[in-house]
Amino acid sequence: MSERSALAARLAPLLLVGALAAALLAGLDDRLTLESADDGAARAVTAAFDAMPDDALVLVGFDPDVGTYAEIRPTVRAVLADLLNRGATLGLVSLTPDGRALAIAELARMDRSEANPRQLIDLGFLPGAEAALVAVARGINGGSQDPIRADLPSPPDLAVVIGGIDLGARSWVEQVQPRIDGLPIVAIAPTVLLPELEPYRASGQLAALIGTPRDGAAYRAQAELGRLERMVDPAAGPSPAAIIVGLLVAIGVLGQAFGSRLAAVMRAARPRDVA
Amino acid sequence: MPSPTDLVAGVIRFVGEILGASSLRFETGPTLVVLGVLLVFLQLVARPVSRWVTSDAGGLASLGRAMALAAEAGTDAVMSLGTAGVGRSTDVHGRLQTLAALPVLGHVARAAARSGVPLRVLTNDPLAAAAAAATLDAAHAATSTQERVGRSRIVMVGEGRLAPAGLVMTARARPAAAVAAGSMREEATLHLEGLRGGAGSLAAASAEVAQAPSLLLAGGGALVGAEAFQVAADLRADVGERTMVIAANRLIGFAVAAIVIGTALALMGIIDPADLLLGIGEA
Amino acid sequence: MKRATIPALVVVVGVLVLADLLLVNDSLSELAGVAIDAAILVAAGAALAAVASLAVRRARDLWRRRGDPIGAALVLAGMAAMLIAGLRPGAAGATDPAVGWLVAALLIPIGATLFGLLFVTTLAASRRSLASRSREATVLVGAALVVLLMLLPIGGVVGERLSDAAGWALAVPIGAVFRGMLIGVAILAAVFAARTLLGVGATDE
Repeated sequence: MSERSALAARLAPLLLVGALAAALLAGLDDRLTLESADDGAARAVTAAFDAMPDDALVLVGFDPDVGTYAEIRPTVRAVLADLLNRGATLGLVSLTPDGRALAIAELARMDRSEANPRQLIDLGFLPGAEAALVAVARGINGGSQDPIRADLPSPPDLAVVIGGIDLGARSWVEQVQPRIDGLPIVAIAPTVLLPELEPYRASGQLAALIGTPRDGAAYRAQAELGRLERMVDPAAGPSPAAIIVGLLVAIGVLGQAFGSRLAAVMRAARPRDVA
Repeated sequence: MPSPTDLVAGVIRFVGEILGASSLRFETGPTLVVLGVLLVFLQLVARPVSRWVTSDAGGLASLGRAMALAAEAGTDAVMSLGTAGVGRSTDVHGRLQTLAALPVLGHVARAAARSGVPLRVLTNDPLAAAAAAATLDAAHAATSTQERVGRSRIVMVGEGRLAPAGLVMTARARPAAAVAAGSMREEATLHLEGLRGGAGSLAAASAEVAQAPSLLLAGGGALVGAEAFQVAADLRADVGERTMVIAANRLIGFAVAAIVIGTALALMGIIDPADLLLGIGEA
Repeated sequence: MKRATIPALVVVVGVLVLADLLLVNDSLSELAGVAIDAAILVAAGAALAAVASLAVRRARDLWRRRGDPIGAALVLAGMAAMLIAGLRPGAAGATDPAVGWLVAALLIPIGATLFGLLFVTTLAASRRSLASRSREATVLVGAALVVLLMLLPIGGVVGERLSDAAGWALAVPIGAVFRGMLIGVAILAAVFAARTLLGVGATDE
């Protein structure tokens, strides 16, 4: 690698950070809005919530991971606020250590806001991954001697699964849904899980799926949160300016590399003049 | 004293009472699909007579040469067992891949043992570390190099999928060869770039479907999707491994036939495969 | 000669749990529940053992001055900080504000930062793959470029057409490939799991 290329390679990340900072400081986020042309995913979530009975009990499988939670956090908070605004009682259970730590943080946050504490049930942490999921399902089906069932006032009407890279909606579809009749599952997942969750959504095993920042923005735009609007920080969503800068940088970098490769291929294919 | 006939009749009556008090949880279609699991067991028992063509998709068969170069240069080799572990709170799809990585570790360990190259094994789970230690011991025993077993190490990185990725990105080591086999999720690119940065060669194997591009972009040998489970059958002539792959190929053939026939029937409007298999309507 | 005790136990428990999945029967459910509860206890024990094992290994590395002493010291300091925050007299355990601060101020930003590096490393890996003149890399990066162009947030008719194309690409070709891979992986995983549980074939132990 030449000296110039090595210098460019070292400066490139700094230039990227500079471009992102410039986009944020220029206040472009005030003029740009993250929206989706297709709000089908958001409508499916709202429809699943509308189908709940009054004073519903919602089982929330809270297992995001610290790395990808920043992507889904605004949507998660909007979903929790929406459910609380509808009068639902939320039972939060975690099956991963990361998920439990984040669940505690969100419960503390909801405690400090205007959420009614009687609408929140902390079901704690269950080790064992799939075994824990089977225990959750058995607890819902079984008698009051099961710890999960003892804490829930009634069988849940809906399950909302907030997934991460360790455990997500796929495991809930595989282990919980077959054991509990008619329990719809709504999933909120980071984009990295979209390829493996989209088939479950298309087959109807997931009642709804928010798997991209655009779907999350579409949902947040239409969710009615009432007095719990304060639970959701409107400025906390992904920065549209940063997303656009990232898109353009990626297209530029890959385009330049791809163009160089194509040019090299065409040069090699050209017949050489033999002197 | 009851006669054998009475005992048999009693057992049959008992089983009948249990079945009589039971009901199917799913409809017929989904139950038959799940019972297909038993078909998997039958496939393993069968000994199919088939020609086996060895392939080297991940470049792991040429690891011996890299180890010989490492021995000359006095460097070591690194193997990562992925980030799912065996006892961690992650789904079974990830943990199975850690078990599937152990035969790959055995192959790498035997190559390292023959060449006298120290091997560092990275893992974030004590159960995986114990299995890796047993694999290393077995490799040295198989190559009659027990005196070298103390030169290799199992490195317990810490809990979480990020810890191994962070470690390899910041390590100053320059191993001659790096192999990553097992479940790697969103941190896969970080993990593989960190291993690749210092290593002379890199081979990666993971059945994480969403991370297939990360493995291909990392360069070197890449075993993507189902290949991560099949690789052991190409690395050693073990009947059990090859029977497993042949059995799986048969089941994949059945699945393809079911998809084609189901699609044709669905296009003709005769059945709805979703209703049949899942007992629910299509979204 | 291999011992058949463990595979026999695994087969019995596995068939029990499978039967509980397929049949609705109270007695069967109780039996399967015992097995599930045992699995949860074992998982809890394994989690505690993992923490203890990590601490012991790192302490041993520090004592013998081998490996990475700074890393070992940081691991032990982090574990000590979290344990003290949660278990000191008067603390509320995992829900204590001190533990919450450590999670919110350290763990979450560090994790998010590491994943933030993915953007840069993925671009660097793509450029390097193209330079290696690999056919797969060329196709992969070319496809990525096309998808990125389809995701550009452009308004008007062009933007709508691009958005529709992106949706079609995700649902049809990309979805088809991923579904095929998921089916293949699921079948191999089932066969591998059955083989491992039954102890069929040689192992590396």
